[in-house]
Amino acid sequence: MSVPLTLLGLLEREPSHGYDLKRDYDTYFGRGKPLPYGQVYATLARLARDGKAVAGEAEPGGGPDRKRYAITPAGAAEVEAWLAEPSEPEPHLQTVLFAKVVLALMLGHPAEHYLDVQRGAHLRRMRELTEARRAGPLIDTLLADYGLFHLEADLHWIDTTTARLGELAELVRAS
Amino acid sequence: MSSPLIWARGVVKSFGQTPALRGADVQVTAGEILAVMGPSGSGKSTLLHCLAGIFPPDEGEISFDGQRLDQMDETRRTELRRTAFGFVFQFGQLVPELTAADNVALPLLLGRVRRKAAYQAAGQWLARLGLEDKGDRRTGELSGGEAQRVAVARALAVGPRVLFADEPTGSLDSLTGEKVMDLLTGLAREQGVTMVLVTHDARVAAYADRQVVVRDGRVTALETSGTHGGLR
Amino acid sequence: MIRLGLRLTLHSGREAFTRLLLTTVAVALGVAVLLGVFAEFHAFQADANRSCWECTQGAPVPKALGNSAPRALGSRGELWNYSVDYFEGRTIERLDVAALGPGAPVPPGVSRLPGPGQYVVSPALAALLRTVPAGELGDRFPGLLAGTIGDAALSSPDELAVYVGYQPAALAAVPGTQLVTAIGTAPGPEVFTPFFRYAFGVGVLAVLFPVLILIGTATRLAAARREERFAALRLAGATPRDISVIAAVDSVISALAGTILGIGVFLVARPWLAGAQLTGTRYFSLEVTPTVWGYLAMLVAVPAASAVASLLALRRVRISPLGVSRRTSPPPPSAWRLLTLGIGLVLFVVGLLATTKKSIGTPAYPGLLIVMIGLVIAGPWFTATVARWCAGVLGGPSPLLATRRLEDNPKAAFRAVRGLVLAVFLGTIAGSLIPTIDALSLTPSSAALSGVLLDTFSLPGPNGFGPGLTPQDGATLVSELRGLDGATVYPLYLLPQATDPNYQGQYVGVVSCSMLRDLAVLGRCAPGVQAVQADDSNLTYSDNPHYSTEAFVSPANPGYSGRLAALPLQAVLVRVNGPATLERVRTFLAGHARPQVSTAPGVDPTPPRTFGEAIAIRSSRATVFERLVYFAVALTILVAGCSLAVAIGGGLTDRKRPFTLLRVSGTPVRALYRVLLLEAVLPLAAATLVAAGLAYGMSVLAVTQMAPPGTPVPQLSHVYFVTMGAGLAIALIVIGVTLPLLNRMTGPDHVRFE
Repeated sequence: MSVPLTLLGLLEREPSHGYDLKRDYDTYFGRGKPLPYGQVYATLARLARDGKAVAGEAEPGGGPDRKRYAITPAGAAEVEAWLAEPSEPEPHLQTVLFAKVVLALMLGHPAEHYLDVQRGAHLRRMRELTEARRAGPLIDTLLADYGLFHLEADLHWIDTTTARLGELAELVRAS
Repeated sequence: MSSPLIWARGVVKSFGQTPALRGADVQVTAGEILAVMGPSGSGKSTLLHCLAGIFPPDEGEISFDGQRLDQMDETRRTELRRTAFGFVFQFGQLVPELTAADNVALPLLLGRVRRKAAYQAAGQWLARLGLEDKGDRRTGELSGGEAQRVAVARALAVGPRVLFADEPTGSLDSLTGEKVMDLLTGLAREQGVTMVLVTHDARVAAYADRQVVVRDGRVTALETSGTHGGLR
Repeated sequence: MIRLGLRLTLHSGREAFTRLLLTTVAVALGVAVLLGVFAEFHAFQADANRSCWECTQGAPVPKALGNSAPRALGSRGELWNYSVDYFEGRTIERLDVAALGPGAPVPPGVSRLPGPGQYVVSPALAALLRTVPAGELGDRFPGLLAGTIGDAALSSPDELAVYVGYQPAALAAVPGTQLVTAIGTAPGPEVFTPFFRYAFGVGVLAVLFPVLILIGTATRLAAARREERFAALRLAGATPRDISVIAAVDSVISALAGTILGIGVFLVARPWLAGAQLTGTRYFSLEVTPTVWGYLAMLVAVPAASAVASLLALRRVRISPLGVSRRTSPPPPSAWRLLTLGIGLVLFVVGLLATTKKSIGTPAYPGLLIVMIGLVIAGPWFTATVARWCAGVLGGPSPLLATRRLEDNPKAAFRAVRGLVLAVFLGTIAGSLIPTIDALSLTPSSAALSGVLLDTFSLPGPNGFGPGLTPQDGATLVSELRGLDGATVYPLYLLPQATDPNYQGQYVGVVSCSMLRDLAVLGRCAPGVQAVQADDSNLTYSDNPHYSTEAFVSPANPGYSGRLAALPLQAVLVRVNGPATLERVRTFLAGHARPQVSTAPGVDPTPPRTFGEAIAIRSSRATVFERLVYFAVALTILVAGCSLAVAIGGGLTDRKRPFTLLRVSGTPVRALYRVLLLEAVLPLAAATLVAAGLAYGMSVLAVTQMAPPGTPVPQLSHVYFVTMGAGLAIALIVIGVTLPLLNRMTGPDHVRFE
């Protein structure tokens, strides 16, 4: 689960303060495990150092959380690339996929297309595993089966989410 | 790229008020196994039925080996289905009171093959599918997996150019389904038979060379990018 | 719930509606036929219950009273002489009546007795009198035509009857006249009625069972299709009772519609039925009706029975929602099934062997019944065997599919043709035995004498033979008869001593050898002899042409050298050259020869008739039975044909999916048509051939055993072949009608529904 990229994605919506970003992250992606403030600011500082975000003038009132950060074109490009490229198909991909879908919806990117691409990648991986299963010894078969079943679970989620995209978009827009 | 064995352009098919296909395009190269995926009601079975000449489309063009299926009459299409195509369905395709050997020999007999030769070929195909001692059993006495294997034997026995499979493992548990898919795809590749496989099951679709998705009556190809990897 | 049932029945789509329609039509046919049977029976009963005026018995008139007789007889009542005459094979009922005073009882159909020199006739006879020359008919009745006899006296609009009025003195002198003070009102003796009642009962059952089976089968088929819908209803909370109500509504609707349609069909066909003479007589059209009770009974009983049948069928129907995926085949029928058939045959043969001239051996009847039961039991075995044999002989995919299905479940296949097989069996037995029974009377000699009329004047009695005509009267009669154009007369004389009550001699009559030269079948004289004494009692008194036309003279007969013209006249044989001559002869005899009279029980007087007419009368009764049997057989075939269609439809439903997918895989629909045809035709042909062959064989056995030697082998009449052919053609047509159903049920649209 890539925290920098997620925060960067959240940042792409509009320039935000650190605590806004933390609040949104906890709401959508935290799932009971809120992000520590320290990690948020450290990540933001690193992003600014790498040129993907830029800190605005500190506002009166002082303190680190009064700085407003904005995304740079480089940062936006990185988010774009991250969303567009399918993740390596492996089990337990839910959190990453989930984040990508929500962010894509927030940003108005074509979530459906990303899901399709991901599906293609999953299927390709499943093809490989099926090929490998056929030739190898039993233990390889067992491993391959494990992978296949979990990949299938992911695909089920991808399918269901695709069907729910309309609803999800509404939800995200409303918040 | 060689010209495709089967292609369809702009296929539209409705049943009464319900449109099943709204302009589907697809191509199948000779010798490849194509998986047609999609949620239920998406029209994927209808696409298979149109490609196999089971019924003509309302609009659009479908071609097999240079012959236009949408312009053929029912008799010619029936003939084509009998000689050039093989079919495997989810269930219910075997005649209950016939034995396994009878079921496999039936299409051969319909093709006017002599009885002895037909049953010989049937026996060979049953053996290929691991059913050499089940030839005399009635359909009702076979398990689901065995019955599907008989269906596969029947589909391949006439030596078709294309095999159309519609949820072939839909009624089977996963292990049995795997065995059937192994045999089905293995034999198809061995015989050089092109296959169009309709399924909603990703693990079944994984047996194919290529997948397309049918959504809302249209066909989408899935991009395949990235590197190949082993078992890891 | 009933409203829901109605909605489901009437709005369930085309296939369900077609099924509803077919059941309705089948019920309509059954109801129409049942109504026809009731109507015929009602007419028959009405006739049987009619007061039998012909049966009136009175006191004998003392003879030889001369002209003083009328006063001695008093003035109450009337003189009554009933006899029977023939015209062109039809019976004329003749009543010679002389009123003794006012208030004499009047027979039915007229308001007053015809006076002397008058006669009244039935409408049919009046019509004949208008067209037939008087010398052939009208001259038989002395006097003037004075009126018509009404329907109250008649059994049929075709009946010929006449009341002739006489002076009491003239009638008193005629032998056989009785003094009657009251006309009989009791119905006639029940000669046929119990038998006919059984026949009608059998007829009703023969129709009722197939109709009920048809309704039951259609209901079962409908239930199978409805099970899917019922499962959904049950899930929605309908109780089993609700389901029963819905199912009952479904069958009641089709049964009610069918009954009403059937009543309509019957009403349209009724005039034809009234004229059809199924029992040999044409009844009055008014009587040929099932009466209001009959219609009401149908309207109530048929829907009620079908509701009951549907409830019963629902209980027995168990359809797995997954279809026939794991069904194992029933075990094949064993050869033990032939046992019952064998037992029946053995019993039948034993009964035949025990047959004497008087009666048929008792084991034969149960033997016949058990053979029929045995046929039904052994049917599946025959079906399976024929299927196996055909599978070996016929190649090809359609025979493969058909024979495998027959082998898989021969019981079901045979059940569809059961009715047809029994119909064929019964029809063949009737068709081969009845013509034989006819032929029993017809021998070469009786055939040779078919155009020869016999009139007997001397009958045997307790006091020896009657005196016959005096030599003078006899000679006059013979010469006047000879004067008729086209008549060749052969007198038969009486040995005078034969009229002696104590006469014990063998020979009764004297015949001239010239007669024997002309009528050679009766025998031949020794050469050079002119006349012989002979025992001609068979010829003159026997009722059965089989015996009466046997030769009775051989060269061994002693000659007679006296003058023939001095002998009393016993009887005359008259060879006629045509029907007109025959009637002229009869008319002449009616006026110039004393009517016959019975002098002993068992010796009925017969009016002058040819041997050919005698044979025809004997065989007409058998013809009636034959016609009834064919009618019942044709009905059974018709209804059983509908059952067959329903059974085929049911078989289609079982295999809808595999057949649809076979067509999808490229099987041409014609191949499937062939499968359906073979599946129906093979058991039909096998069972029919076996049943017909068995029945014919049994008939041959029966004839060989029971009939006198020389009787020809039973031949099946063309009526038989026509009826059987029509019935089987109907069955084939019915099968053919199911083929388009197959086409629609397995069309490509059905492949969509997984």
